[in-house]
Amino acid sequence: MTYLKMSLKNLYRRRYRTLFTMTAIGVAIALMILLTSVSLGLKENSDASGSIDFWVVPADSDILDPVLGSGQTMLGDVHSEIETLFLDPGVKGASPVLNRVVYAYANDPNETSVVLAMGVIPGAIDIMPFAASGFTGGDPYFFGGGWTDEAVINRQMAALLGLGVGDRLNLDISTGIFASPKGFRVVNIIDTVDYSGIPVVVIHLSELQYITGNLEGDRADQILVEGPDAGPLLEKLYPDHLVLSGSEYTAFKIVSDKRILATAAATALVSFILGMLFIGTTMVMSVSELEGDMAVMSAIGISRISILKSVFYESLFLSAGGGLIGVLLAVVGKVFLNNMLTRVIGFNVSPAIDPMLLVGGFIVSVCAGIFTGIMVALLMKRPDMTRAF
Amino acid sequence: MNIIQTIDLTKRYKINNIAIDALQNVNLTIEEGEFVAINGPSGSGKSTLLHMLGCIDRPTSGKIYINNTDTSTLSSKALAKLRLRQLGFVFQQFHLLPTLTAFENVELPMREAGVPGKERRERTESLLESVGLGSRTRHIPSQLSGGEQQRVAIARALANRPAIVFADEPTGELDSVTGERILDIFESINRESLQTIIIVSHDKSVTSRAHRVIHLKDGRIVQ
Repeated sequence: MTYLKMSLKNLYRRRYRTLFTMTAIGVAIALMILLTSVSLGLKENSDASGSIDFWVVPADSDILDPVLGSGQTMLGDVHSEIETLFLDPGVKGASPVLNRVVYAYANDPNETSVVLAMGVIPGAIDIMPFAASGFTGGDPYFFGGGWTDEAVINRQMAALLGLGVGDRLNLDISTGIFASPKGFRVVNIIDTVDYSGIPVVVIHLSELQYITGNLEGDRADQILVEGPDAGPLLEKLYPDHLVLSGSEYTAFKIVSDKRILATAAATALVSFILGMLFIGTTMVMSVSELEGDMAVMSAIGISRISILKSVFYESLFLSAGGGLIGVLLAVVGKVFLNNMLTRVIGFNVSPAIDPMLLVGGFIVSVCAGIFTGIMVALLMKRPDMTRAF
Repeated sequence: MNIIQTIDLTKRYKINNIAIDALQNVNLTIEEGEFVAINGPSGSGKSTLLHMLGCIDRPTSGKIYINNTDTSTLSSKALAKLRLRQLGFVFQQFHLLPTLTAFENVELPMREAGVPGKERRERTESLLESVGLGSRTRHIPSQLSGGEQQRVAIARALANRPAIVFADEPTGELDSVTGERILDIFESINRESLQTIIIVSHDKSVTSRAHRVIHLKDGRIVQ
């Protein structure tokens, strides 16, 4: 406790330098968090998120599957699975989701655009886009009902194809002579931050399954579940798949997308090195200033380990303080980043400040402090005790 | 009983390839409970002798026995332990740790020695009371006068009940009245607890109070 107190007081004695160092570390950590968040946010613009508690994904799926559409790693019999899930009182909402890149056009088939189509079961979960108004609830086409031809689009898509509510659009997985587009009617336009990055069209799951050839086998990419207590049930029902909670899904996205992983790793490494440099510089100055005190402590019989403890604690407090400042700057910085991106690029990528990223940023900072503290302690010369006399 | 004995103690420094003998074949013994003053002109080797006897520095040659232990056989870690448990130090410039209170400064050596919390607190309060600072325990050094700081330093030196207390010009930074009070404390420690006191000083009031004075000149003991 004494050495903790000594190190805190030493930092307070040089409070301006301490604040400068912590802020510098904080900026590095905040940039790491924000850069990774932007990468995730670009990905998240095509994902439903909101209040989802669990994601069920095939064990070897990849986030490029919506683009490649290989169908090799998908969930099957999803409508039946959902019915089973709803029998459990712990499940508040659930829906399969199929994501595919499709071709869309409004009036002129020569003016097609590539957009992302999401197939969902409207009304199955109380978040967007499942809860968009205008959709017929459930999935009538799958159960022998009529083709609803309902589509909900986002503001991006509306601007891209010049569509408004009530207009017709056509979707297909190919263009040219093999094309057999299906027509849809725009029943709603989503205008939320979560769906503002890329053009998205949301239709009933079975209708997208039909268009993309996934109706046979009743396939989808993932199942989203609402219900905080549903975890054990899901793991029992899907032993061969991945059942991921919110933070785990964020980690999954980072790890499975090599670009996001590379961004996260690179920014973490840069922040770690910057953190070490700032802390190391401050600690070298601190050790130099405390040489006299350390000589006295050594002379009166305080062991080298105890003396090194106060050095180590200083480094740790600097890094922890810097980490906290970094987390705060990231949260505040998100607001400025959103505004800037909207003004400069024209759309909002909605950087996803996942709590896991904030914790990760703080951990990177503390690791830098621990590493630097140990290095400084090991490299420190033995105090010259004669200085005490 | 001899508490300190030196045999042919020599300390040589090399400065720019020139050898300087700060101490030359010093042989002395100090008995348990003695109050010894070491004096001599500047450059006579007083501080070097104190460094040797206090195990702050190692001799170039010769032996030092403290409580019959040959200190040349001890590792740095063992010497640190010896300084912590058997020796106490009072410095000319007090050298209290500036971020700790008077209480925490005195308590520090006991904490390092593993003294249990309750005993540590009681002994710290008792020591500070004995040097007349029972009401100033929560003050940091910058809030204490020079005399008060030196009294805290004495209390710190006595924390682990050392067999020997070393003091290097303990009254050097103090006015004469305060200096006398400090010397009163040393005398009372020596008289009541029979702790051996070794003081390096030019001050005649120190040498007049000592049982014995060791005079140094050019690194040797002179009579």
